[in-house]
Parts: sequence; C-alpha cells; structure tokens
Amino acid sequence: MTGVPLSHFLVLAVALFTIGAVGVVTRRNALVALMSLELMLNGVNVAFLAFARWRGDALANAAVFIVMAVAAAEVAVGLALVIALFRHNRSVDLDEATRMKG
Amino acid sequence: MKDLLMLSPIWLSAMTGILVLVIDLLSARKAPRGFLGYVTAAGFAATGIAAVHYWNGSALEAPFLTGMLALDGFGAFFALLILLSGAAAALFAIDYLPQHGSDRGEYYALMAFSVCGALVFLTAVDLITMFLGLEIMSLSVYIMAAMKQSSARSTEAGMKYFILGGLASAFLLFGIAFLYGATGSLNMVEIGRYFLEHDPTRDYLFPQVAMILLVAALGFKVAAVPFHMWTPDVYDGAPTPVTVFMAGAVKAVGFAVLARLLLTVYQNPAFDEMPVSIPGLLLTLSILTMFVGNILGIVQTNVKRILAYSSITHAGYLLLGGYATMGVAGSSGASVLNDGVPFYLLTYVVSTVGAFGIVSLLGSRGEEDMSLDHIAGLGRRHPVLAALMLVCVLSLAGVPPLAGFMGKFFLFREVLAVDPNGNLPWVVIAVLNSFIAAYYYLRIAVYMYFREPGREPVSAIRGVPGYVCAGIAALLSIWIGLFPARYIAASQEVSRDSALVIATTGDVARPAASRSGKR
Amino acid sequence: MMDALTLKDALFWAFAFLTVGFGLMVTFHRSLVHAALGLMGTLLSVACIYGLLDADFVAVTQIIVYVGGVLILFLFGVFLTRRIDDIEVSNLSVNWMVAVPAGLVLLAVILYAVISSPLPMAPVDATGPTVEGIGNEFLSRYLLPFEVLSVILLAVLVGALMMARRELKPEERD
Repeated sequence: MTGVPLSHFLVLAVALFTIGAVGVVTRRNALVALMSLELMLNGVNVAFLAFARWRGDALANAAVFIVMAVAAAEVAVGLALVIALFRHNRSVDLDEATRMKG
Repeated sequence: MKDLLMLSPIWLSAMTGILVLVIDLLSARKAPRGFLGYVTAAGFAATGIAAVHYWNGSALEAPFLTGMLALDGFGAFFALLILLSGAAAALFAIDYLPQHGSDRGEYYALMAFSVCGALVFLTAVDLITMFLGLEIMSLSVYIMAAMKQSSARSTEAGMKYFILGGLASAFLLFGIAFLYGATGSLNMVEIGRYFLEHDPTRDYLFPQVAMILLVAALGFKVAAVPFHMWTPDVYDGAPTPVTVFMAGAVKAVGFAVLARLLLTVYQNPAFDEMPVSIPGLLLTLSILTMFVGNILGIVQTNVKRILAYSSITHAGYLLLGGYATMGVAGSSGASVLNDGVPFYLLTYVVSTVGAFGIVSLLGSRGEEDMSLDHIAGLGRRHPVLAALMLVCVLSLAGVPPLAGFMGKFFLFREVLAVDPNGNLPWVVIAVLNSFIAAYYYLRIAVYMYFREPGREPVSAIRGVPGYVCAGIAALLSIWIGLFPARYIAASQEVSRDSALVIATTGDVARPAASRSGKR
Repeated sequence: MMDALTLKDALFWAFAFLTVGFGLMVTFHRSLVHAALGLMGTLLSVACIYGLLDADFVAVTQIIVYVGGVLILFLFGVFLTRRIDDIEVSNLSVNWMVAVPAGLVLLAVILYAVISSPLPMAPVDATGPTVEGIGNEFLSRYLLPFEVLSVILLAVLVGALMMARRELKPEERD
C-alpha cells in the first residue's frame, strides 16, 4: 500500500497535462506539438489510474488501455500529416505555414 | 438478433467503408473512382433507413451491451443529419476529386468510417465509447482534410485541425477522468444517477472542472468562439466536399452530444449553484460566438471563409438554444434541450451543405481560389448554380420564407417561451446579429448577380451528382421553410429524448413528456 | 513497514520530478532530438508511476506501446523531416507570452479543485495483478469499445497509407 496520497498523483497528472497543453499551443514545430499531445494523454492516464487505484476498479485500467491504443493511432496519423507537410514546405514549422492566417 | 438489428446503422456504415475498400482494391489502378461515391451514398441510405426503423429507444438485450448505447429517436434524428451530410460529401466528391487531382477510393472509405464514428459518438452512453466514436470521426476527417496532396493549403488544414482537434480530445478525456474520479463510473447515466443521489456541489469541485473541460472540448468541435481559431483556415484549406461534412455532420453531432452529455450528467438542479454554471457558460459562449463570427465574417473576401464564419455564427444561435433548456413536467427538475435546436440544426445543415457543395462545384482545376471577385457574374455564366446558391445563402441569412428563417423564428420563439422577460435581451441580440450577418450573405448574392465577371471568370464542374445534390439541398431549403410543421413536430419529439432518463431509487418511472413548469 | 512506506514515498517523488522535468524538456528544449529524448524519459517515468499505482499491465503496455512503438515513430519523424546539416532546429515559440500564463491559470484552477476536494485518503487494498480484471472487462462490459477500437485502427491504417503513398499524376492516369 502506498503512503502517497491521491492528491499527489492528481497534481502530477495535472502538471503533465498542463505542460503538454502549453506545448501544443506554443511550439511551432509540428512534431513537438505532437509530442506535447502525448504528454497530455499521459497526464490523463495518470489521473485515471490514480482514481482507479483508490477505487479498486479494473474498468479504468481497461479505459487507459483503450486511450493508449487511440494515442498510438493518433501518432500514426499525425506523423503521416507531418511527412505530408514536410513534402510541401521542406519544414515542419507551423508558422512557416503562412498561406493561411486566422 | 434484435441487438444486431438495432446496431445495424453502426455496422452498416462500417461495412460500407470496408466494401468500398474492397471494390477500390479490385478495380483497375487507373480507373476513375467516382462510382464509389454512389456505393457510399447507397450505403448511407441503407444506414439511414435502418436508423429510422430500429432506433426506437428500446434497450439492447445482450448483457455486454446494456447501458452502452442509447438508440432512440434523438439518435435517429441526428443520425439522419449526419448521413445526409455524409452522402452529400460523397456525391459532391465524385466530380470534385478528379478535377483537383486526387481521385482516390480511400476518400469514400474514410467518409464511411467517419460516419460510423459519428454514429458511435452520437449514441454512446459509455464515455470511453463516446471518446472512441469521436476519435474515429475526427481522425478520418483530419486525413480527408489533408488529402489533396497537390495543395499545400490542404495539408496545412489537416495538420492544423489535427493539432487542435487532438487538444480538444485530450480535454474531453481529462473531463471524463474527473467525472470518473468524482463518481467512480464511466457511464453517463450512472454518473447522473450518482449526482442525483449525492449532493454534488457541496463536496466536489470535480464536476465543475469536468464541465468546463467537456464544454471546451465540444466547443472545438462545434466551432464556438474562443475555440474557433481553426475553423476558417480548415474549412478553407480542406477539399470542399470534406468541408461539407465538417460544417454539416461534425457540427450537428457535436451539438447533439453536448446537449445529451450536459443534460444527462448534470441533471441535478443543484448544479445551477456551481461557480460557473452551465447556462451562464453557454450564454457567454453564445453571445461571444455570434458577435465574433459576424464581425470577422464581414471583412472576409473569400466565399469559403465567409461561409466558415457564417457557420461559426450559427453555432452562436444554437448555443443560445442550448442555454435555454426547458423543464419537463413530472420529473425531478430534469430539463431537456430547447425544442427549437434540432429543427434549427436541420435547416442549418440543409442550407450549409448546399452552399458549400455548390462552392465545391465552382472550383476550377487544381488550386481553388474562391474569392468574391471570382464568383462575379456567376448569375450570367451559370444561372442554375447561381440560383441554387442564392437559395442556400438566403436561407442561411434567414430570409423568409426559406428554411433558415423558419429555423431562426422557431428557435427564438422557443427561447422566449422559456422565460419571456429574462431571455428578451439575448433574443434581441441574436436578431440583431442576424441582421448584421445578412450583410455578408447578401454580398455573395450581389457579386453573383450585379458584378461584371473578372478577367478570369469562374468555371464550374459539370457533374450530374453534384447538381442533383445541390438541387435537393436548395429544394429542401424552400420546402422546409414553406411546410415546417412536420419537422417542428419531429424536433419537439426529439428534444424530449435529449436527456437520458435516469431511474433513481424511489423515482423509477419515466416522466410524462408533456411540458410545463418553466414554460 | 515504515521503511516500505518511505521507500514508496521516495520513489514517487523521484519519478514525479523525472516526469515533470522530462516533460518540460519536451515542451521547452530547442532541439528536436532532445525533445524526443525527453519524451522517452517522460514515458518511462510515467510507466514507473503506473507501477507505483499497482497498474502492472498498463505499465508494461506503456513501455511496449509507447517506448517501443510510438517513440520509434517519433524518431523516424524527427529524422525524416530534419535536414541533416542543422542539428539545432530552432523551435522557440512566439506566443508563449499568452500560453504560459493561460496554462498556469488552468493549472491553478484544476489544482484548486484537486486540493480542496475531500479525497479518500487510503486506497483500497492492493488486489494483486490487474491482468485478469482487465481481461474480464474487455470480454464483458467493454466488449463494445474493444470492437469499436478495431474500426479506429482500420481507418487509421487506410488513412496513413493514403497520406504516405504518392498520388497518381493525371498524366499517369490517362
């Protein structure tokens, strides 16, 4: 049995999620944005598992497993897009993608 | 067996995708792929018939399916909107894709998978299943948005949509995690029941945080204002038939899930005491969305971008409907979606699918540039397309007697009916915004009919399926406007199903569906 | 017993700091290769955190799927899209002035919720390996999501292949 309280795990989860969110929004490099997305999903998974541990529930473990599978699928699509972007721009800089401005 | 039939819309749409893949593989490498569009549309038609026929709200029997999906009239109504947009997106693509040098069979398969995902997303009661549905839909759309490989803008649109969509998915998932943490369940109905049986606001801030995260995530999908940044770029850069799907199906399903999730999970009236309450948040988003969408829409000079901002503005009106929920008599204060919203979505989807679809027919070879100058003189060069476009755009603007007008009229009336005095200022703001929006819609009409064609007049694709689809959309825009009674009745019925019924201890009966109370 | 408790405490703090540190490296380091290495560090430390949460199966899956699969994909991405000659691909951001405060606000709000919510202090007793429970869920309550997952994988497979495959040029198509 761990002596670490639930809130510590949650704080870790939130920290990881926030670092990822800031990375997605700020980093110009598409690959780093993609990596930051993975950080966010890992934060979510830590939160899921911490809650599950305190409830003794196998369902959340299954949910985390599914989230991992989806994350892997997301990365596959993301990298396909990165390669396609690179073909056009010779760069994966999201700001160099200046053909469009919000 | 009954389960299999009830699930048939979901597996029929997935099978359509697989069938398309197999046919694509078997046909000659260099043969045109347009015929797959008909296969897809036929598959969607079968799916739609199955959804209307089998989704009657009865429960699934198999033990592993109980409580996972809600297959009811609410689902059937929005399934039809999704399938209409999906079929239109497949049919418009038949002539569009070869023109733009990316005639690939995979497009139609991905469209079918995306529709399958949207149906799962729409009907899921289990939150992880819901997330999976969202991901199937979104991942397919990201790829379709980027599939025009000759165009850098298309790839960038896909990338941008992917990054921000991934952010939204993570928010949704974190919201789900907090709901799980608060209640120990991943099922919408069970979570709602837990909150009904335990006073949720005194102890927990988790439902509050979860609510904000969920609204933010779904706000991305419906393009509500602080989360709208991607919309113009993605709608503009993506191949136009994909834009048809995004503006139609993705937005409709986003609203449906937003309504069902919030109304089911946050059924306890005590939630109105939250620091950030759901009606307050939705109202703020609604007003922001209307104004920002309109103001930015006015300065646009590109038809696709104008329509993108128009689609943002419509999200604002719809959020106003989401804010004004209605009470149901006999239940423990549970409220349901305002019955103007489903009807409004119907009119919006029909007109916007038509408008974007016609834009897809207008693009000339290769890189498309749909600036307003480009469509100048369209009324003389392509009178049929211009007339259809006029009908769709005027319907979006809300000009009587077209569908869009009836949608706005009915929605605003129902919002007022909920609280005649309190909601009056918001409805006045919404009406004011409709007038502002008329400016850019009429601008499209003026350019089409009263401007001399530029040096490079627009050329149009001549394709039967696209013209037929556009014609149907325009006809429906007129028809629904003239004879709205049936659709309004359907909308009222659908909105009653919007909140899933939670049987709590002591109050097991399904509440009577007649409305009173807040009205 | 006391020793075991403090050991777990120490492990938690160590891995938590590693996780956050490597996470910051992913987000803020200028070099792409360093970011990828940071991601590997984060994923491994998170796997250890999973271990501390008694989620043995998920921890192993994390290592196999993420470190073994996803990370390799990322490295391919890094090497495929990076010009070999400039190793330090600059990727400092422009709008961090807005994003970092916004992130801090998000952090503060959620932290406030976490800290001020009365959470149960003691976890339920450890139940041993979780593999059996997960297997049961996938064959009972979670059969449907498990099946739906296969549609995702199919769609992604088709989509990623389509993006990667070169398109037929119009003249090739005749």
